[in-house]
Amino acid sequence: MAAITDLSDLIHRQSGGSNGSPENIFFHKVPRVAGVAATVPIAGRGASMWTYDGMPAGGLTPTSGAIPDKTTIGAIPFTAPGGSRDKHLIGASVAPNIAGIYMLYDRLFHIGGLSGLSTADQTIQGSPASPALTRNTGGAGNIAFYEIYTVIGTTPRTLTMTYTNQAGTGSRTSTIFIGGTAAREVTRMQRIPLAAGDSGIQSIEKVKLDVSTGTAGNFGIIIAQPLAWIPVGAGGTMGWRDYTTGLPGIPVINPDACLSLMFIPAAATAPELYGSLSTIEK
Amino acid sequence: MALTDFDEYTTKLRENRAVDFQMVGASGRSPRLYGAWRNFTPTPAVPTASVVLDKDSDVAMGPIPTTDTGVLQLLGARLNSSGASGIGVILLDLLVHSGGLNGTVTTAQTTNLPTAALTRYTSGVGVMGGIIIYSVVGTTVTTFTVSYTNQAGTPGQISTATAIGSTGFREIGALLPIPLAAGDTGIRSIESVTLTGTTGTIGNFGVCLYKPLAMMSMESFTGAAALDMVSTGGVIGQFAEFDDNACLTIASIASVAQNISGAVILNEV
Repeated sequence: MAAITDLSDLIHRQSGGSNGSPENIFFHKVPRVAGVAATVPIAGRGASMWTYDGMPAGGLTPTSGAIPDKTTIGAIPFTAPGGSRDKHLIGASVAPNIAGIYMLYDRLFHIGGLSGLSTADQTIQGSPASPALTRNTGGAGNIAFYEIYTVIGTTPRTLTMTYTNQAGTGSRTSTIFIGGTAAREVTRMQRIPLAAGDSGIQSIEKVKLDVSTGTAGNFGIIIAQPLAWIPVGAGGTMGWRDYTTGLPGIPVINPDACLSLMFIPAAATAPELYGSLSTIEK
Repeated sequence: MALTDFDEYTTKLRENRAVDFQMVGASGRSPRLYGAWRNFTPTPAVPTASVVLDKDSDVAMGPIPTTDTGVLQLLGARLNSSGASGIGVILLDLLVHSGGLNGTVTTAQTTNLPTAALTRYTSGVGVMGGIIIYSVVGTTVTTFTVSYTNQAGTPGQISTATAIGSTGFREIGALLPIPLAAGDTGIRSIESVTLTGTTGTIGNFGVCLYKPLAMMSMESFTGAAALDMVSTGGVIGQFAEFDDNACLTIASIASVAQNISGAVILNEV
């Protein structure tokens, strides 16, 4: 990967020099899913924008395990870099009507069709992993979520995830709550913590509920690579990250990345938002 | 031709090729997307046909600097608001707009449609669409869909239903985003608009097509925002290039209703 040399190099490429190919990408989302009002999210809890209508259109509920990419319906479209250049994320913004934290991520893997009733092992990628990740395959920095597509049961339970960590060590396990109020609603997206010492995920073998939540519903598992966290202090303002003026540096977007958004709203309101991304190539 | 380095960048900033604008009425529909150009002064006319817009249109900032042989690009902005709360400002090239649609009709409406053929971004890739309200529609919540031609030239694409009517979705200047059908990446033209139910009031609304260019954040307690592409942050849309006949204008997402005035700073490369 070729790093941005200095500020002058950045300006030169942002203004189109040396095949910098600057691209400004815009998107909007309305608080609806397939034309119907979106489920109200839980204040202070993660929620998914994968299925929200807008531009791009909402993504579909995943079925079997799959590797989504930039061509998958629901992904924010962008132009893949030319030659052997990398695509660098220079800035990102979101202007929603609801305060909160908005995360831009590359959706590396997803699966749906999991049951809130079953207490058996539910295979995610299995072992060996299939399909295996095709982006950020080393796993460093990858995180996992469960994502609710159809409401599951009212009884709070524990989900155990068995995964391979960033070092390639299999059979790592971690747990998270699932089911019950604030952990069952459609579009709810909950990060699953990792075992002590781990800092990433190469694959997820399976998940298992300790006891039934009471309703099968439909939930899934996501492996994501976070790219930008965008805090928005008040509804009707624009949160932004400019990586030329702020840490942690300039993220690289994989040429096939499935760009999507999750959010943690400050209020129980499904957001309407407008956003943008700026990229250059080197 | 690209900028060479930081020194050339600051030199270009000092040239101060600014395009001014002034709103006289506060943006409404807080905290949602608002067609701020409706509050420009002099007050823009309400379109009675589908109108192709350019740099001389009454909804455009102006005047745009005359170019030689180069291309215009955005360097920054000097913005000021009438209050001290936050605003997200979206700089855009407004391509076409129309009016004359009715908030009580539940059949497909084609008044002043289809939209006139685009003269910029003609493929429609990245072109967004919106419903723009000129006279308040009713207080009843309903939904609308539009039939449009997508970026590939495929007609008859139907947007997913989204809200119109009631508070936040009826006010003058409200800009209601049009969600696209699966797989589409832009709009080339709009052929009709259909309401699911009546909003209860005829009002007057239309459609517009626009190409977003940049987003700028106003977040100072003083209401002033002096922004540039490199040193300040708060502008996402790095050196956005646009046509020298562009109808440069703004939409906003404001925490409370406010006027915005100021200028965007341009460069020719």
